[in-house]
Amino acid sequence: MQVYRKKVWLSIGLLLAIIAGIGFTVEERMKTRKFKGDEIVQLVKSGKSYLLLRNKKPYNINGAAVYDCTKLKQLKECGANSVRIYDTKNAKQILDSAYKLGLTVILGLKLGYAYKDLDYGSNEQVAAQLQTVKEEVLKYKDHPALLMWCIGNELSLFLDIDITAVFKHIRVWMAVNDIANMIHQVDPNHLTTTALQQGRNAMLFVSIYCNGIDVVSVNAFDPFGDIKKRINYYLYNKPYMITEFGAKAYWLMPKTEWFAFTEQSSRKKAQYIEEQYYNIKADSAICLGSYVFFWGYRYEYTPTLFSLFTDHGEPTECIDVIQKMWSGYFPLTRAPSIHSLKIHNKNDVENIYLERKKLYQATLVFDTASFKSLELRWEVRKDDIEYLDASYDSKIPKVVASDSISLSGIITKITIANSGDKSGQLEFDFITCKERGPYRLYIYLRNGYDKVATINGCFYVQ
Amino acid sequence: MISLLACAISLIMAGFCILNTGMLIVVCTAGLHALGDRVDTNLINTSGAGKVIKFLADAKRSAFIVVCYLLRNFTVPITILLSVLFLAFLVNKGSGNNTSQLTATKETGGFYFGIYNPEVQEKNSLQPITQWGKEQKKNNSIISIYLSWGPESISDFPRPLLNGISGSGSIPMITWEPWVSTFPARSDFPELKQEKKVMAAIADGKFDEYIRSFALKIRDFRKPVFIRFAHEFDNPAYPWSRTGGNTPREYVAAWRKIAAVFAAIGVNNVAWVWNPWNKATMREYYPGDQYVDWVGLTSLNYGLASQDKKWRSFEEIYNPHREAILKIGKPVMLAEFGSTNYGGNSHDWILKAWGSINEKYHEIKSLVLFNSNKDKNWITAWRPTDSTKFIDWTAIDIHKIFSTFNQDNRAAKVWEKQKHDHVVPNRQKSDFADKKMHLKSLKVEGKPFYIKGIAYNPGHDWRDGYYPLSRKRLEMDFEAIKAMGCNTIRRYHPSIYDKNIFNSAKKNGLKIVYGFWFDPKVDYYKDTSKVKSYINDVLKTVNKYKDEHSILIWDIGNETSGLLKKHFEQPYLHTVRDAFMNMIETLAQSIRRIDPGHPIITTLEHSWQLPGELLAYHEKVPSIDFMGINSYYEEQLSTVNILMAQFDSSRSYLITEFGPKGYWNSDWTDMDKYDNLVEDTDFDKAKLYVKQWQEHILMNKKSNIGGIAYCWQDRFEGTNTWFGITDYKGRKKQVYFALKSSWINNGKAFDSTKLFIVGPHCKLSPGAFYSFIAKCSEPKYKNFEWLLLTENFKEISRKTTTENIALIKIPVKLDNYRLYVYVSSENGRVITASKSLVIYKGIHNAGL
Repeated sequence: MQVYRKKVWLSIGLLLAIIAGIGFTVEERMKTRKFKGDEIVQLVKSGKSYLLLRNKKPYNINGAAVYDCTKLKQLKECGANSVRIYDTKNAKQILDSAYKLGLTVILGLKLGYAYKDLDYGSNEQVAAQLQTVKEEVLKYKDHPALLMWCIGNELSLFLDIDITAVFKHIRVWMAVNDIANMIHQVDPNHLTTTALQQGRNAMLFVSIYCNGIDVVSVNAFDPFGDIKKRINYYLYNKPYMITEFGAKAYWLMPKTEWFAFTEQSSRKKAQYIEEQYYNIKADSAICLGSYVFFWGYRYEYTPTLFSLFTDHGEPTECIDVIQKMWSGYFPLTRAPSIHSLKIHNKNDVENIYLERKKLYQATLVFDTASFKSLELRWEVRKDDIEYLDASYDSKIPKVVASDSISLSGIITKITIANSGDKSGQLEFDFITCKERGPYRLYIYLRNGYDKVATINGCFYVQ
Repeated sequence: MISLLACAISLIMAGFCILNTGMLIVVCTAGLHALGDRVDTNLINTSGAGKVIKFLADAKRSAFIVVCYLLRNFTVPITILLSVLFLAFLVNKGSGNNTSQLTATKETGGFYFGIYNPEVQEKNSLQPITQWGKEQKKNNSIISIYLSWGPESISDFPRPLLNGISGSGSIPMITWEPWVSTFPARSDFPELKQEKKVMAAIADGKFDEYIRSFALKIRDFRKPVFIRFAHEFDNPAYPWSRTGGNTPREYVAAWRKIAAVFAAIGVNNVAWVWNPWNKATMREYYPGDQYVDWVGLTSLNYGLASQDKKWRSFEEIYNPHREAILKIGKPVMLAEFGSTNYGGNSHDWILKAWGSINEKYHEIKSLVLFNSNKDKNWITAWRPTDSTKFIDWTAIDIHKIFSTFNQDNRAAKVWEKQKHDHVVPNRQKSDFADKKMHLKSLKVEGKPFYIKGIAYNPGHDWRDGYYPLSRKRLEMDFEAIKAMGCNTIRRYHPSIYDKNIFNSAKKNGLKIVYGFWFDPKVDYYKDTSKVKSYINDVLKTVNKYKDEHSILIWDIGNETSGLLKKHFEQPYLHTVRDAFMNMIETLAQSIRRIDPGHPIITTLEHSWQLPGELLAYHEKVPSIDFMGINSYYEEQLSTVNILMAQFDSSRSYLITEFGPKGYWNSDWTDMDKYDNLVEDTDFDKAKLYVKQWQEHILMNKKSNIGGIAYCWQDRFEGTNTWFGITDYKGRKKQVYFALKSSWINNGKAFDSTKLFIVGPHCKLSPGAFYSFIAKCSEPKYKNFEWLLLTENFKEISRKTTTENIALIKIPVKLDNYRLYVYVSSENGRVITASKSLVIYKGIHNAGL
């Protein structure tokens, strides 16, 4: 009996020792980087809050995510001070023009996605990747516009959360950490970061495995309050920034009976972006800033969802609001704004079912500062996205019908409710396809200042 | 000592094992965490299970963190485990990649040896090859000739030569080369004079007239023939390749156009040889399984005369193409086969190649020896001697080659005389058919009888379900059938229910089209004992039932001659088909002898090859009284009357099946983006039955004897609800009332309720719940039965709801599924709808 008791005590003791050991290694692992004080970009911690210093001056990031330099000038004019790019393909060009405009750049170092591009279980492949990244770092490390290195974007994208994936996650984040440490050796002047999906798992892994990462970046599309809770829970000892925020993502939106996610109008998007921005800003003690997504045109779920510019390159009404939040004032000329779109007298959340090859009416309620020339462009696209698919490889659904109506000379078509508040209603007809299935009607309303309001509506043809 | 060491090692291994298992279990529970994320987006109703799982997930959060810490400190065993897993993955992946597996091809009837000798065409005689005597004669099943397009190919069509070839027991192969500059110039296609854009012009119908004339020549030849059109279409040396501005798309369209023109005038004796050259692009040029019979391939060893002056074995020439060719799954013909002597011995080359064909390449079913010494198509400037003009492919001992080939007993014996006795076609007219009308109408007891029929399928095969066909059930069904204005039912083959069916039919005043079914897998040419037993069985049954009051018609064979194409490849198909038709003719004459009182029909399927079949039956099966045709799709049914007038005008026809759209032709059937069937609504189907009856059957009453609607009860074909007039419980669908209205109520309106299923229009997460809605335009229906089946009709789950919405759990197993809903009212009516479900296989978007 006594022997038995002894064994119990012994094992409890052993267990405690193990836990203590684990605690110690974790503590060790989470130590943050020390700055000498002469680095171009550095982090200062005081109490629980962090301060980003660039050339020894506090630097608060207001930026946007871009792919090229076509819209950098507009960005600067709106009051931004930084851009984020995703790879080094056009890096030289973008860095140079950013520098000319006085913008800083977070330079993305593109890493392979686990189980898609790269096998993180293979030491050779991981080492080869580190070597390529090192060459890129050496190439750009002395550029005056450089702010930080972003090591990979949403690297856990293709990793499912199940038993085996835990090991895969660890391999990935350890590889990221090695790259971060390598960068600190060759370029102590700039900070390292890695952009995460907004879920908790990646935050946790990075906290534990990546002590070489100076700042954690999060791509945030959920309402920021929810993300903030996760950050509080899972992110230890590190400041963070928001490397992507924008329109309310499709998975948060109400969906139709056939699983088409509805989309905010550009009016609602502008409101949401503004709300997110101020919520992020409110956490500036540990949040270093934010990048709005996406400064340009990009197809994801729909061609308009995250695009702050249309496929024709026109700014949407979100740009006006973004200028307001960065610089404090609206532009002199404002974009039009769409309040609602009804198809066959229904909003799309009410599930619109139409018959094949029939004529239906769409009704638009909008307001605009300029009636001088108003142009409506509409197109109907198929709407059959694989929303479960993480690959972002899907092609944009084809346009099945479209038209463009110039309203400059025929304002009679618009009923102006009250010329004082400049709002109007507009109706047009379209014919449904002969093929059954889900569709989406896209509306682009452009005024005389070449600014556009967008909205779309889903319907089902049976 | 050693055993002790082994023991220790195994103990250590066991320790590792337990450790890893333990870790996995902890991680596994932590995995619930992820499940919590998944469920709340997919589960519509989060009040119950969703919240419980979420709570669990929250509780496990701390466990998850601990696991991560633990894992950090066990990097070494984890790495070992990872590499083991990775290795296992690699091994697994390696074994799955096995190209040597053969794609099954259809029965070709044996191996086809062939020969090309330019002198045959030059002298327009077989003499140059018959000199090789007996060995050759025994073997040559193909004699190859080359014909260019152009007016001359019509005016100087080598009919005597073709006759000579077939007379000698061989099959001609025409390599039909679209050289088109000899045609008169066209202002709308001036490029044709430069041999350019020929495929586009063919596809556009510019050569229809020529193709038709040529096709008529082929049709009138009547014997099987291989046609190898525009061979090596991807070889830049020919103008019908990209060189002449032709695209793969145009080539495919041209091929299909030619096949369609041939089929439309009833040509049924062609084996189409599709002959690619470039393995990389061949797939783009593939016209489709239904248009191609053989894959041809050129396998010539030029030796020193080749581009790199390299002597190549047959394997070296063939292997690079093999993988692509096997994927196509058609028999392979080495349409130009041979070797030069430049750098080796051609004789040995051929014999060695023959050895490996026999040993390894079982997909090769034919080779045509390129026995020419007049080939001018040098690839390079290299010549064996300065004076050499032609490439010599003939430096072989042909006797020896043929005697080697002859030792092989795989050779197709298609030229041999048919083994069964020939029946001399001799039409015997009978009393029931109106002689003045020349078999144009049907009479029963002296009165004209127009068939308004229903295919009564219960109790036939597994597709019709396993419901026992009780007497009570029969009575009920036949009463309902009679009540809808129907006067005839169709049965497909004898069954144990026959007596009861006769009694119930008699009681309800219904007539029966009594059918016999013959298996399309049977080789009617070789399997003479099967043919004999079929004939015996049929005659026995006819003898037994010939005095039954309700018998209206004997229907011998349902779609068999058409379906033979699924099991036999041209030209053997032609032979087997002939043998089958011979059996039908024999049967018709024998039935006539024992039962002159009932008309005899046989049933053909309506495919694009129907003209060829009609023509063949017209010639070879004259003793059939009426032609039965199963015709689906309005696009086809609307043409039956014209086709009959064109190809078999001496007799009238019966539409032995008509109904909803078929499920087999994606040009005319709606498919979703995953290529799964989209079923028409019951209302659309009902409208289609009525339209087809009114516009394409009744309208042609003068030349047909009626129509039979397919079919009485839902069966496992297409989908579980595709064809039925009633559902599996015997409840009447809208079609029932629609047909009733056009058979007795003169087109009175019928129930116009529309029903369809709405649900996620994307791939679905395995194991998740999704809600589906039965959108029904008529609110009086209150009972919703949901049924989830695999596309192979295996039941997964079923449930009944009183609301039109159902929460369905998606199966975890990867398969194709279809969700059905049966919406019923209390008075025994039902409306059905279905929707295919596709499971998502990849990594889930982690944002969700």
